[in-house]
Amino acid sequence: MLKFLISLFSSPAILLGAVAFIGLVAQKGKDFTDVTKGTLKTIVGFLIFQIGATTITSTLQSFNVLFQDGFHIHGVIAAPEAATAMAQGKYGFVVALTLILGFAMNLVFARITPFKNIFFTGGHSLFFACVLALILKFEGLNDAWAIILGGTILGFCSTALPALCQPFMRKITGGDAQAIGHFNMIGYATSGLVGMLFKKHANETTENIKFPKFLSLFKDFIIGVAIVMLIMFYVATFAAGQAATAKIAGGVHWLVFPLIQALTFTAAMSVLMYGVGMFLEEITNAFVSISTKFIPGSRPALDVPTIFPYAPTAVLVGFLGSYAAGLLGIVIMTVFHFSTVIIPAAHICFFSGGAAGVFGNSTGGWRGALAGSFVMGLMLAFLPLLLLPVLQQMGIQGSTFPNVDYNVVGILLKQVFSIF
Amino acid sequence: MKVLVTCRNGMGTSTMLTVQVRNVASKNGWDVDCEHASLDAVGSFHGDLIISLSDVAQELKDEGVKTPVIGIQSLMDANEIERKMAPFVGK
Repeated sequence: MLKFLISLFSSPAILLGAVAFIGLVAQKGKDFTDVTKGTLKTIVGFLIFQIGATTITSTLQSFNVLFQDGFHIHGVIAAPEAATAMAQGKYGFVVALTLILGFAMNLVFARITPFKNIFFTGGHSLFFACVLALILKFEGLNDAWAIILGGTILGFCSTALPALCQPFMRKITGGDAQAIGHFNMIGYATSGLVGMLFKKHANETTENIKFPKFLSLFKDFIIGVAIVMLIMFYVATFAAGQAATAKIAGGVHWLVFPLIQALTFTAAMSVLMYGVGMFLEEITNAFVSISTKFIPGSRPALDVPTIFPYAPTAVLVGFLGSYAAGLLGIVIMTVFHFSTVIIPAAHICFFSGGAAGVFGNSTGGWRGALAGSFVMGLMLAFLPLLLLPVLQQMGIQGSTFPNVDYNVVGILLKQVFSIF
Repeated sequence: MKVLVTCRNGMGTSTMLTVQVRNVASKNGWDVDCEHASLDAVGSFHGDLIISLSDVAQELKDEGVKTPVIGIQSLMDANEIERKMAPFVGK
């Protein structure tokens, strides 16, 4: 019986399903149908996420082989979804529990500290939980301590970091009802500060600029990922050559192989995101009802697209600024013979760079948007290099976590551990 | 009434907006069946109303989406959601 229970709940899908179940039962006005539907959807959502994860991992392995054969350096795609996917097999249980404890500790810290932010971007909490779990396991902590320490750090960052951005958020949204909840908060605040350098031109906003239509292609998540992955796979394939590609292509023509692999990666990414959206729905629901009931004066910290309506063009400027910085990063890493090259992912630059653009625009107009997002892009490109040795040893190959906050926190955590 | 709540990646924003829409619906006693998904679901959606944030909603309108689309400027403003949804309820 005990063996059955351990086996059942060490599956992260079941664990999250159980949390959703408890959350649903605790909310009044939920009948049997709601509880069954919500619980099953959470479990199935997580399983869909894992199916996407498996496929992403296998396509990235092909990419690694090709890139390494071709250039004799590691090429690492800065996509946190893919990096999280790679940790699921071995550390899924620790990650899932860190995530859940992180939610709980967010509520606790929001209750007892002056930071009243409740962090609702569950996808980002998942990435942060994953980085923390990997670092703490690398440091040799057992599962229980890794979860307790990781969950506490996650919970604290969830409520405290949005406060950094709040002065800018008041400017952007014209109110204090909403905070930003996306683990680049240190980067967004920096972008807002960089924008202040152009304070005199704050009125020359991005919203007066007209952009060519093809750029809107990158607004579509799937297309953005597909274009970048196609380019990356073909670059790696041509560098590796026909013989090396044919060896792993398993009978597929060597020029068709990268096409299929790049688009399979994109498809898997879409599957993965669909799964994340599904399993987070009920958990977010429960989180909302608990926080509104028990934490008076709490402020929701929400995903970045919630600020995009306030300056849609700044988002495009920010995308371009941060992607340009990422490409400059590739040049620098190649010229100076870094052992690894970080390749910027289009969708990350769109959301994270785009939000940096909105922050920069609020303080320094289009100049602020461009400069702020460029600085953001540099952070996305260079900060991950510092944690890469740890993550690679933990089995995360070919992709990594680019977002600013968990890199900064992870690097600090590593420093703390190096004292002991 | 069948509603699709959508955002670019179908993850953060649409999840939260769904929670808001459901709360507004249950407060007013509206019968709303609400799904959330990424923009890729828009093409195959055969319901009564699509809800998104205002920048995305404008793009959907520009693309000529047949289903009525409403755009929300401020996600936390329940009054705005209620005001914009009300004309479509019970049609």
